[in-house]
Amino acid sequence: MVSFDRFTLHNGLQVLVHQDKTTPIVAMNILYKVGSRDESPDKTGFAHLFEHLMFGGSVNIPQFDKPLQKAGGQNNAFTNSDFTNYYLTLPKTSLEMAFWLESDRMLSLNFSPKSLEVQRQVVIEEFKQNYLNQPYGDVYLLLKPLVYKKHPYRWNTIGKDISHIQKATMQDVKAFYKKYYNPGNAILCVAGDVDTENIKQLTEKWFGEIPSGKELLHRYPLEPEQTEARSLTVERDVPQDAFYMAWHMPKRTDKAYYACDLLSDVLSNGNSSRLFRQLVKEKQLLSEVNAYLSGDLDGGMFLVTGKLYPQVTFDEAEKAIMKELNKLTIENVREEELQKVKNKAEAALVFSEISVPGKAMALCYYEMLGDAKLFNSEAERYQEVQADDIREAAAHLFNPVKKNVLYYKARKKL
Amino acid sequence: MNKIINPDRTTMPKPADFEMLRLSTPEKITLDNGTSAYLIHDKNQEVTRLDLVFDAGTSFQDQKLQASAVNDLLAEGTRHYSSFQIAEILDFHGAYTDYFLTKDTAGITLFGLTKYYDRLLPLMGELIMEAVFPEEELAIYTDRKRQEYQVNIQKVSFLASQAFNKLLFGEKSAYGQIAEAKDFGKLTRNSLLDFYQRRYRDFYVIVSGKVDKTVLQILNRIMGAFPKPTQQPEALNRDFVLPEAKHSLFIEKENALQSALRTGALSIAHLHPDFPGLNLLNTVLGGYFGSRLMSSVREEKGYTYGIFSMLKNYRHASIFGIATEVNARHTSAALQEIKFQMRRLCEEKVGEDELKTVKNYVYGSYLRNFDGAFQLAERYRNSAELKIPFSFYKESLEQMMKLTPDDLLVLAGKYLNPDNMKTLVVGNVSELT
Repeated sequence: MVSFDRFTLHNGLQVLVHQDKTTPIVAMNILYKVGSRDESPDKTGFAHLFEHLMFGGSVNIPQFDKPLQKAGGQNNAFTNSDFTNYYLTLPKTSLEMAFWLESDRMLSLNFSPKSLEVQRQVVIEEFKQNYLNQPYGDVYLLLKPLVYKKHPYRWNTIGKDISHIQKATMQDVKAFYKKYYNPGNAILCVAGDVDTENIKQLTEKWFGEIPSGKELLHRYPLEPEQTEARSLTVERDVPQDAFYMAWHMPKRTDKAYYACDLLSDVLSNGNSSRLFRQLVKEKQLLSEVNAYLSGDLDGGMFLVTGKLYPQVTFDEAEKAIMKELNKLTIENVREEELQKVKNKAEAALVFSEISVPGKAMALCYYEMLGDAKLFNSEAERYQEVQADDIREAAAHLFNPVKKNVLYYKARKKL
Repeated sequence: MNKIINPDRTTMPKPADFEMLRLSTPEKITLDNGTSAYLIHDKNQEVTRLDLVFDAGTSFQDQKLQASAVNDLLAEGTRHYSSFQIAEILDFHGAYTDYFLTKDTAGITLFGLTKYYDRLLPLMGELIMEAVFPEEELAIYTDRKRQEYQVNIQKVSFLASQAFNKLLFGEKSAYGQIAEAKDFGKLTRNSLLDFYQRRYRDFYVIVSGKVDKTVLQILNRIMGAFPKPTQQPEALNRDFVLPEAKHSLFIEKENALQSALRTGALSIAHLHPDFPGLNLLNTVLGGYFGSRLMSSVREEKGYTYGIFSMLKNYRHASIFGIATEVNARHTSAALQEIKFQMRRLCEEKVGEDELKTVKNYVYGSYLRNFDGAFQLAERYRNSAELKIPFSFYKESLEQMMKLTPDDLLVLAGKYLNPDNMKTLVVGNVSELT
């Protein structure tokens, strides 16, 4: 149970405070409700590039990291399809520094052309390091446009390709900032040995004068119902054939999300899971297998992926996988198996409540979903899932006309 | 009406003094059979972490991959349980295990809800005393690992880390050995059993998080019941380090978009009097986001997504090294910049302001890294592996806080001279000018 207080500033900034007296560290987390789904199709990768620019100096602070490090602090950030999250931790004796730093870059950036040029290069290197210069690194670049046709989830957070990042202008940067980096579009959480009254005063002092900005609607093109199975085959210089199957998931806030999550655990969480036992241990068709989901707000992907041993064909592997998936659409999981995946979900939640920055981030995330309290009732929602729900989720997901497969073939060496 | 306060944004709020590093030595108890257990209590948790640590790292193996295979296969079948049953018990209780292996030690870390420790601890006992390494499990394991290896050798960073290890410690040494594709086929069940019987008899335990009476009783009942070996395992007569004369190495990886760079040398141990200073210098150079290398190679020039330097200690040797992946076109320029930044440290004093920043950054990172029972367990395991007293961390931190720019200049000349470093590049080296 993670207790918290909540208040909202007149400019719309939502604030959460969690007290944990046991730690010498305080964490400040700010979530901005902007991700790659907010980008236009000809300027993809922008939300993430922008995250880099948030460290390039704000109106009164030439460099974000320097003063923070001077106070013994540390920070990082990440961007995904739905939101951009910034967090920092520092010794509790320097708490006010966090307010000074984060409020200044919410107030205004300094929009330095040099910072744009350098971060553009850094992001291009990140693109190469993680997506192009890695075996299987471009899988999601290929898979997302296969699965999504209309919704902006069809491109990756890093961007469709490097050229979009090369083209970004300072004008784009300013417009993006003005539209999305406002108190009304942000959720702030402070966690540590702090008290709410003090945080209220500090938040008023540092964030109170920032104008709220225009209200945002957060509306996105609807992804049309898929009516035909799709597939894509590519050949690359990799050692093993691999496949990536994907189906459309319900929205993150949909009740069925929890049944899907447990379904993925039945399939591949832990060495006793079905796909691992059957495909890796018993039949020995695959050297690796995984079932997991991307929890995107507007409906993510349910993925089943695997790497094939030499001599095994895609057809063989796929038949064996589909046999396991289809079984789940007709037969209920055993009571004990259901209990197992619920216990795993419970333990994972308990473990996520240990670190102070982890708690601050989780509270902001659930507040974005609708209410920070959801963090504390998450375990119940897993407990409520019944065997029937899992079977129904499977039947709904694994509809043959809604299947997407990427066949990633190893190029034969001559 | 809401009152608007206009804060002074032009000056940074003055940070107060740091609170002292909280570092209490774990409580040591001795189980019935003489096994040592170190306890790190946190009453606010409902979870417990258990570390079982053995002197069974890669430097003890007589065959490549032996140590890792034994460690990885502990849960793949025991006298009373099949691989599947073990997985079922762990999964059913929402527990997860981490099998760790370094050059010096190996073992198991278990994370689980405290309420299930009555089921989990007996299973851990089974793993460390009764593992049988079934032939069929070994075969599956070998096949999977071979495939994983084939994927890894496509990565410039993996190739670089392997080659760098050989370059610094020497291929023939216990620390420098690196497995290759052909080694996967040579593993046998007998060789695994032999290593297990020799190296997995004597161990110690760290229990952290919620450590209540029940946990302690079961701990003693299970881990305190094994016969302790009556004699120490035979002392191993081996060379941990056999450096090669080679100064630099270039490995071709066709069509690589980025080159992996490594540069470094053997260095000094934790307890060496110069260690705190070198540790601080390492931070200045490449040990944090605002470091000189990160500022210049990433933030100034945009050659890379990341670059860092490290000081890594093992029980019998230590290394200093710098690692990065850079835009292939800028490989030479990046290498030059790295050397330039090292030379600068040898020739110019670190400014007072920069030194202050680095000291505070280091202090803050100690507060973070020693926060909470699980982190303390991790740090304690590290000190025990190196056989250094736990108080070392706090003492070393205090020493770092006292160092001056003059002290650092002397140390840089001693340890960071770029001419004494070995260099390695993996990538499109035929294009290098």
